[in-house]
Amino acid sequence: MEGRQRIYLVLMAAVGLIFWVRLFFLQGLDDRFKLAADTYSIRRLVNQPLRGNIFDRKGKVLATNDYAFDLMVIPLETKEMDTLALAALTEVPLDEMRKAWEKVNKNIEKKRRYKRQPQPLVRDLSQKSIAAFQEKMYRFPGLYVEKRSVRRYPEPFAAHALGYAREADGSVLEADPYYQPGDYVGVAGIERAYELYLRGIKGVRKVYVDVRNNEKGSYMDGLYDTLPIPGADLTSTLDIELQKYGELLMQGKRGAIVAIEPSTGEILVLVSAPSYDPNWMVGRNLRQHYGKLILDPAKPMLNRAVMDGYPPGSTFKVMNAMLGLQAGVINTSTVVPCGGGFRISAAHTVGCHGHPNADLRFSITTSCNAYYCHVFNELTKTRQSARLAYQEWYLGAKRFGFGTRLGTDIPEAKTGLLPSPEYYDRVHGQGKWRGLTVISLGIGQGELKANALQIANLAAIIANRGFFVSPHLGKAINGKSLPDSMFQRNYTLVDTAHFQIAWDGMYGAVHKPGGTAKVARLDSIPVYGKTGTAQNPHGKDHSVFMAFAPSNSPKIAIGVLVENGGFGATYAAPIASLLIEKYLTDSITRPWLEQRLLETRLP
Amino acid sequence: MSSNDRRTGFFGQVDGVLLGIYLLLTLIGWMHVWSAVPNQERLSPFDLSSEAGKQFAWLLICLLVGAALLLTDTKLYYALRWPFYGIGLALLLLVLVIGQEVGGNKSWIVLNSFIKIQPSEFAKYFTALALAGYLSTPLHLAPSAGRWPTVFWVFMAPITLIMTLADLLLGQGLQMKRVVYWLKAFVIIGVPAILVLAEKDTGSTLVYAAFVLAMFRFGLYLLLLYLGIGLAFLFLTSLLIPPWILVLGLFLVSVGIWVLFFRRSKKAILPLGFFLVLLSLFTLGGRWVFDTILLPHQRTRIMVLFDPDLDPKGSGWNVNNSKMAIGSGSWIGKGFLNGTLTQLKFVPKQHTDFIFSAIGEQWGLLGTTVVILLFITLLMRLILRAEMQRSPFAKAFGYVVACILFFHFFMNVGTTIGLAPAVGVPLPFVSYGGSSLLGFTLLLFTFIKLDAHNLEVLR
Repeated sequence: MEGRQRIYLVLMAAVGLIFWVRLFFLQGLDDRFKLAADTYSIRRLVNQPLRGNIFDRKGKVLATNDYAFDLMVIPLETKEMDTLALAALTEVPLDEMRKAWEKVNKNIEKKRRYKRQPQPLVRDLSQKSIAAFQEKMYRFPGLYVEKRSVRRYPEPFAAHALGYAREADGSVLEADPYYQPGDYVGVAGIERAYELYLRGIKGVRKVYVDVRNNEKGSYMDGLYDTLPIPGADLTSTLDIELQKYGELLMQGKRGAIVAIEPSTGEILVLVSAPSYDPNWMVGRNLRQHYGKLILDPAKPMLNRAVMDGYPPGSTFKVMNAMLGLQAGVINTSTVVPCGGGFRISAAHTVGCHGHPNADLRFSITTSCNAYYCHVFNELTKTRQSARLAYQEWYLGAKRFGFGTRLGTDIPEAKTGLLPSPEYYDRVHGQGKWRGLTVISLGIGQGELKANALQIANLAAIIANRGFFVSPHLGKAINGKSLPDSMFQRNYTLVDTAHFQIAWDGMYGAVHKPGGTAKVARLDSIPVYGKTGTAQNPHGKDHSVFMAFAPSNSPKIAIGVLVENGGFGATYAAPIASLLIEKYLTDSITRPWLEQRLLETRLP
Repeated sequence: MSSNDRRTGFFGQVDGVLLGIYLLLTLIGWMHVWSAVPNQERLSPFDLSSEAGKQFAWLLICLLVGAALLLTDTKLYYALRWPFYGIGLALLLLVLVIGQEVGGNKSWIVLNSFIKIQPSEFAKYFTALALAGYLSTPLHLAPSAGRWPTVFWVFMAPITLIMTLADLLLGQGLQMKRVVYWLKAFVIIGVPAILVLAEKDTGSTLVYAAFVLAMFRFGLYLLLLYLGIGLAFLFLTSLLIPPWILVLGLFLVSVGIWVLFFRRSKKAILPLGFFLVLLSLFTLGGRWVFDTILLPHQRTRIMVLFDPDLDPKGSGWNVNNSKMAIGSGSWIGKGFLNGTLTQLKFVPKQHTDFIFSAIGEQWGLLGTTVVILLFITLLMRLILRAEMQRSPFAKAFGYVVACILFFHFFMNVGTTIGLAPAVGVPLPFVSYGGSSLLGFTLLLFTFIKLDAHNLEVLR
């Protein structure tokens, strides 16, 4: 029996060895457990930064943050409570409160662990009811109030310019790893364009989480925690008072207004009508309004100021005059007999209204169709082939901003359409088109598409005598001006000297006999304007007008487009005129005109 | 030489290795009970309202008790073994009457809100004394078989049958005296085991198997040991592969054994065939018991040994989290009090049954290696010292102590690393719990005392 001692020693040594080998694998070689252990026990919590404010050019707050208060519940910690009293205290209808509890109870039935998890019982309580509730909170164990920040727009205007921010969805989350579910991201307008500045920097808090999902203090005593850095404040170029007035004048109509400070390219007004209250895009309101906005046939969500648009109409003639001068096909004294129109062929004539024969200045003033058909026709003859000549015109027109985004910071901006030679090759066949085929471009009709921004920009080019600064909405970040390099000067191919005749012609349109836009005339300030009528195959023509003022270093260039408004002088010109007066003199001398416009409802 | 020095004082010649390891393990235990709470909830290790503080208080009590044991006359243990055994049984009966349920086991006597004791921890000690006393009279000196009531034989029929078969197989002829000798030993450990089982304390019941392990040293049929290991192996494999394949395998193995060892002995065919039938029945029956008698939670407790992901939120939960905690400790651990999972209470019962995972997470392989070395050293030292005992009582007691500690070590550490089913036994000297600490202290110090006076025993 003495030998049996060995059995015990061997058994014990063997067990020790087996255990040690097991531990060697478990602790030394297998790192499966290390990863799992970390993800289980350290949780990364994000502290959302406050989004930056947005101001108008005079410092008025356009977008800021508000707090919303949610009534939260941890079901496990609740005791039997008086739902009636709770509903009364929080000013929530009893019905809604009962339903909220039912929902919470259903959640718990589905997953038992929800019992320990904080969840919203009622969202967006009013400040007042929160105060009432917090006084009596001791009576409702397991309930507490959680504050979260939401966007607020104090002025219910400029919805399209400001855009909106909403919770990042699938495509955003996929495209940019910065965003996590629940983060807010600007998806339109300024909110989108300056997202990088406005969003701030998220703070991170690492906490230990125990097996029941309870926080157990910060990881490494907060060594790796960072505080959220609030987003930068953005000063925009908008003049909210003028914007308000523009929106007011556009009520009951569809269309767009863009006003630009010519020397800087700063957008003073960006109206797209119909519009909506930007606050509708926030929180509880969103659910209520978004569907309606999307389904509205008037498309209030569409930013008409920068969409592809309509033919610019006669406003386009001023550019053609400049290109004609530059190419030398006309000079300031060239006279083209009007005779009621321009004969393309025996069968086709581009009609014109009756007026005396025009020189260049007067052709702008009176908007002579025959003159510009002639100019355009001549322009297409400057080279051995019409295509080559057209190519040259096309490049020249492009430098006036047509068919481009103008380098603007408005995310929704479209290019419009300036047909390229290739476009016509496709439509008509190579070598099968000539100047007369596309003659309607001469008077701003045909395939052309331009928006209010491009038309306002054309006014700015003329005001600047040959260049434009990319029109933009952003002015300063945290009070520091945005670098000039962000919005560059773009020169046209036309000499500065040539622009005098455009000024004269546009001055005449407003102030001289035979002028098409005399309704835009102001007593105190010279206004330079040009009307346009965009042909609309689907209904009444669109009313177009562009203008700038005053003569001494122009302060405002404006483009107005009223859908189905008929002639440019009917609606677009008076609207522009009122806005110019309001901006430059801060007063309205023609209340009757204002009244007429406010009362107008276009279908 | 000092080992031959017969100079002994009150303490005798205390074995420094055993005492040293005891102190080390209890300190490690106290330290890690203290570590196994979230940092912000951790009080001073001496604060009596915390578990670490209570453990410290119990540790002081145990050291006092240990000192008292070292001052006690060694003859007392042997003399009082039966009264002690009686007290042990009385406590176990008492707990059945006035015991309170804590964590599913009705094994606690609650004295007040502060102190509750677990009599089964002390019953081990008293049973150990009784069994060692019984084994100190070897078979050849034991009184003859005598007459036993029929009830006894009926109860003991299975084990009697096996021992009889073993006798026959080994060709030693049937020795009724030997069978009865061991049957009595089984009765001594069986009675408290059944009482503990009545408390629904599975872990503590299984500990009585440790006593059987000790009996092999004193002549119990080794066949039983092999049989036990074989049966456990058979049972576990029967859960993995179809029983009929196992039975076929058993048949082939039996034939192989006969061909290799008993070819010449025709007599061996009968008992071998009988074993074959028995094992086959066990295999089929074991599967049947597993499928129909065991409760679902007991079933999964065993099945998670094969597949830890079987029930990750239920039975696998403790073991999985324990493995995760130990595994995350890596080579040198996360540092003391930096065990993230330990602090977060990821491992349930971590200060008691899963204390080893706290050590593994905070000290890594380095720490677990030290603890395993300490235990293996303690166990082997106990066996070596036990073998040297001149007094048969001290020798038997030494083996019993070693086997009890070994069994606890095996089941406890095995559970935390997923090598043994989670039956819930404490890690001796390390786990939180006054009763178990005191119980193990009584066992160890009694042996240290007996060992200290080894040389005084006349050969």
